[in-house]
Amino acid sequence: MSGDALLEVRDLATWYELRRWGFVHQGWVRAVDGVSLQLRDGEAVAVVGESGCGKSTLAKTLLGLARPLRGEVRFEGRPLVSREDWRRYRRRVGYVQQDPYGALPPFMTVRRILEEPLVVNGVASPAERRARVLESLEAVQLVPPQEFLSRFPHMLSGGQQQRLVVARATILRPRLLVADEPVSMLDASVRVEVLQVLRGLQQRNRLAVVYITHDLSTVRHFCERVLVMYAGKLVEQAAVEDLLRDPKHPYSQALLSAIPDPDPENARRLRPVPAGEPPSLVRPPSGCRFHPRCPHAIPGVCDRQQPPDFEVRPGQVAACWLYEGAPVAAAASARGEGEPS
Amino acid sequence: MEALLRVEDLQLHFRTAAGTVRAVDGVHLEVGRGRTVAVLGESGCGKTSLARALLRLLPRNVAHYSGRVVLDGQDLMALSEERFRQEVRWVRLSLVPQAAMNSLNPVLRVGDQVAEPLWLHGRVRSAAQARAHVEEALRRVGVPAEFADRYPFELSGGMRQRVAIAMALILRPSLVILDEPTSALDVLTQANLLNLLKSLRWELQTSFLLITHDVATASELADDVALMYAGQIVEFGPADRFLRDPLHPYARALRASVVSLREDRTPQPLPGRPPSLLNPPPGCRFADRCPSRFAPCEDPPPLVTAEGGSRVLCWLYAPEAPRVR
Amino acid sequence: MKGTLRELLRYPSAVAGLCILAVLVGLSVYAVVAVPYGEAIRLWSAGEAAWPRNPRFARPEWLGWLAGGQLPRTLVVGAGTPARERDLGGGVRQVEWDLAFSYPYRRFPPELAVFFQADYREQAPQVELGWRKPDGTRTPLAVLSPRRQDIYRVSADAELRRALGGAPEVVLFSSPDQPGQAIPGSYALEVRAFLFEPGSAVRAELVVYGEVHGLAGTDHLRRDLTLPLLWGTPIALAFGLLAAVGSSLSTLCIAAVGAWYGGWVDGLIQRVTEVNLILPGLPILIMIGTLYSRSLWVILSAVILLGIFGGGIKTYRALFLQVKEAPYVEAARAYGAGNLRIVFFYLIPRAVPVLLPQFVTLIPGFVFLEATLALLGLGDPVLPTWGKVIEDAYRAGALYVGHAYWVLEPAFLLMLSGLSFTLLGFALDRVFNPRLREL
Repeated sequence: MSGDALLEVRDLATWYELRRWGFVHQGWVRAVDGVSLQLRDGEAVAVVGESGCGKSTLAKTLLGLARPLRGEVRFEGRPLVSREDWRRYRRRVGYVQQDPYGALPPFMTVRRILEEPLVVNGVASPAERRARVLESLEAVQLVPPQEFLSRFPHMLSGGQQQRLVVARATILRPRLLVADEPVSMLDASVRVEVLQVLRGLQQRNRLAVVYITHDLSTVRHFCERVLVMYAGKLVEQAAVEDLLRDPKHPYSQALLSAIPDPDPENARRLRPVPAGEPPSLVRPPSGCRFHPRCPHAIPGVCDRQQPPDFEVRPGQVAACWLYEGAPVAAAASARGEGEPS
Repeated sequence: MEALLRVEDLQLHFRTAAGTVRAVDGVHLEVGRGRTVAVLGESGCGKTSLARALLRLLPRNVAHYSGRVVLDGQDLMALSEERFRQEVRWVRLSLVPQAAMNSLNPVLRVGDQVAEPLWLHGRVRSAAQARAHVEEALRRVGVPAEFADRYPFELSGGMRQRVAIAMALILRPSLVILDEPTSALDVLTQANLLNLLKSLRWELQTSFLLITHDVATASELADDVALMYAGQIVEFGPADRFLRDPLHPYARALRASVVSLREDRTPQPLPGRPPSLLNPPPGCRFADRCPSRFAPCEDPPPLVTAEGGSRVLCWLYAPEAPRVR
Repeated sequence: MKGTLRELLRYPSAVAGLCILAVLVGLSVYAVVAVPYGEAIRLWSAGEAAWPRNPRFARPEWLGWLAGGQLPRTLVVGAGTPARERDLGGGVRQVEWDLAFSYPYRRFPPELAVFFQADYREQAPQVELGWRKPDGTRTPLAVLSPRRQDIYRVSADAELRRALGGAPEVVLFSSPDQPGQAIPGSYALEVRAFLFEPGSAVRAELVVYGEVHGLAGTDHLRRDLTLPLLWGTPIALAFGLLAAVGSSLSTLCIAAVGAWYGGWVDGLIQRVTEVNLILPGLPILIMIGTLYSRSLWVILSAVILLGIFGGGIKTYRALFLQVKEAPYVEAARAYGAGNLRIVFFYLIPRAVPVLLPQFVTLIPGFVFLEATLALLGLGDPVLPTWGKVIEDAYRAGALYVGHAYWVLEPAFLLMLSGLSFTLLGFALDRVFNPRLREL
């Protein structure tokens, strides 16, 4: 593991228990099932995948809101083991949620919303709190900040609300920000302003960002690397340009070809996309999880064994048997898939 | 060829505690036979109210509802409520509502729900007949026939959306309004659904009125695009023209503000907010955010037919307005 | 807050409710100021002794006015002609005076009494009373020795009744040839007192009781009903308010805690609630009242305790289970807010829009409960409340003997208070729950 990584995750798994009638065990939802990744200081990484692929669970695990079943997480070089470790880590991570309206308590003013994290974490004097509140409002371009202090969330536009959520997430000066679909509920023309604010914060404060989305088109200008997630696993990891120019994993290829651009030619032709739906996380397919929908599936291979992460090119890793022969990336390997004891 | 649907000066205003909301405020558009028109607009522009206005699915607090809606030569606004219900709604004009996958009745089986319009309009006389129609409808939208016996919660989001489309098509209407059919779906499911809509379009020759906020989705299906802003259509023209080189400043600003995967430009955010529909400004409603604003914009702009057949609601294209740049 | 008020005032029902409430509050304030608590209790508990000059079962004066002024008012004749004193020798003095008055009514007074105040050391004076009618006829009434404070109830004098051949208050005001009605005119009570000590004195006051009295009439113990009606207002309001506040707030907090913590805490609360819902509240209150104490505060506490684990727990729990999943709660957990903080500062404020209308509509229920308990004989023994008035009226069979006012007046006030809160509550509901609005 490299020494300057802010966050290192190895073989992380978070499973939910399915119970019928509240107590009869029915199975496990393998929402995150063996994810390994590294995040450097100040780096923005996108986790892209469809709904049901487990990316929200990954977000919650990285935030410390969900307990992982297995796997190692290291923050600033130190492993997170005890509950106290995780609690301290949680203070250093900010959370930006998808729905700005639900993420803001409707009965609190902007000032109160921003002060709560400070109060809870013991930032003492009211003067210091006020200063930090004003500072964070300016950082997200809600200016002039004094004018916003006594407003309620419903008095703000969607973009302003989401910027307020970002302000709240960063007011404790975290090292890492996890943004779960931060702009998907906003209008198209408003998404840019929020993404630009996030980008600005990332660059000015060396804030690492994990940006979770299903919309690959927003990734280009706002992230350095992309991780593609499918059915609880990361199937490809690459720099943004590499992925957009030359995706290696068939699922990444499918995702890219499925994203339309405003091209009038679209109306005249069918778009080639794999049929079917993402698999159930309770009973995932054997072997490579994408094989039932994959146009390049190798029978006898892809349905038998999970592919390891092959480093196809420096910095681009794909978990696909098509690249057998490439060196296996050091960071991760598919291990013990059995049920918890 | 005579357009299938012609809408002239459609107005729908609502009474609210804060005043009268002019959700649809003078909309003009046409849908040709077998053609698809995309109504493009951001949240709050009134496009869902437009769908309701066309289908006469009105809430109780309507303050004003007027205009001409001519379907196949017949003015629908002149019909009584009962005749509209029997002859037009769902029969000639139907709707796939927003988040349709959440609007299926959770206590009815899928097959029973899709069959309901058949029974209500007396198209079938026996359960076997209904079942045959339903299975065919489901097949047509790519849902396996055995799903007719399942309940909505047993289906995925994409499947439920297809069921809603099947329901809208069951009486073979000439025009189907689709309100944000793909916005809550994943990108692969969206692509699959759009492929389905494309094939339905070619196969059935049904006209579609697609309501969406996403330009890319519009480009997938539209023959013509109508851009809606603050209750009005500000540009209406062939999709080719609109998508390559739009006329109205809002259209241009919208294109520039949308992030794009393959284009190499940085998106430019559009400052400001759309005007409140309670008290829209007297002149051009986009004026306060328009980079090309000039003196005449204080008056309501005329509807100008520009070259290529596009119609724009903008002073920049009016021949008689002085050009001050 | 201000916005809500403005929104509320758009509803005529809310305005009406608030006006009525203002009147009730005004009455409460007036009651407490005009008749202090201790005084009120004393007057009420003392019963007849505190209101000797009030008639029994008197109707309100405005009822008399409606009847055309035919109903007699109480006449108190204190001063009369100056006393004529004569010394009879041997230390005995004779003092004579007349208490004259004009009686304008055709209806008979229900009662007659003479109030004496005598000063003496050992030997009480002797007093002879005589009656003079307008036509001049004189009738001897009685000879008695009044003690220091004494009341001679003319109407209750059985001997006099026999002597006159009829009820004194009737015979003394009528003549044999006009038996059915009283003869208006000048009457007088002739007093002749014999004083046996040099310093002794006697004062007499004739009270011709009327059929009407005061704003609200009187009850069987001659108590002016304005007292319990007036004082019943703050008691009813206080009881209703305290019970509603006490139970609502507790319910809210307990439901929130249960919903948030889940697990066995929630399970325990739900089971306790379910058991409590099955328990019959009124019989329990009756048992407490009968076996333990009828004090209003004890009953109030019992009502609150029984009400806490009520249906409200289920409603609020459902609400909180929903609110608990809100993204902002998750965010709060993420930035480290503790459980109690989340419950009280993030969950409970969401319940206020539901709480407020419900709470307002709860109040009349408690007000009526207090009245019900009083009617069942479990009202507070010393406090003058509306329920007590109704109970007294009921036991005296008021409706059957024509004293409808006795029941209707407190009932009207109960209704009024219920109406005001209900109107207000419904309007509040419409303000806070937009889906109920009709436009």
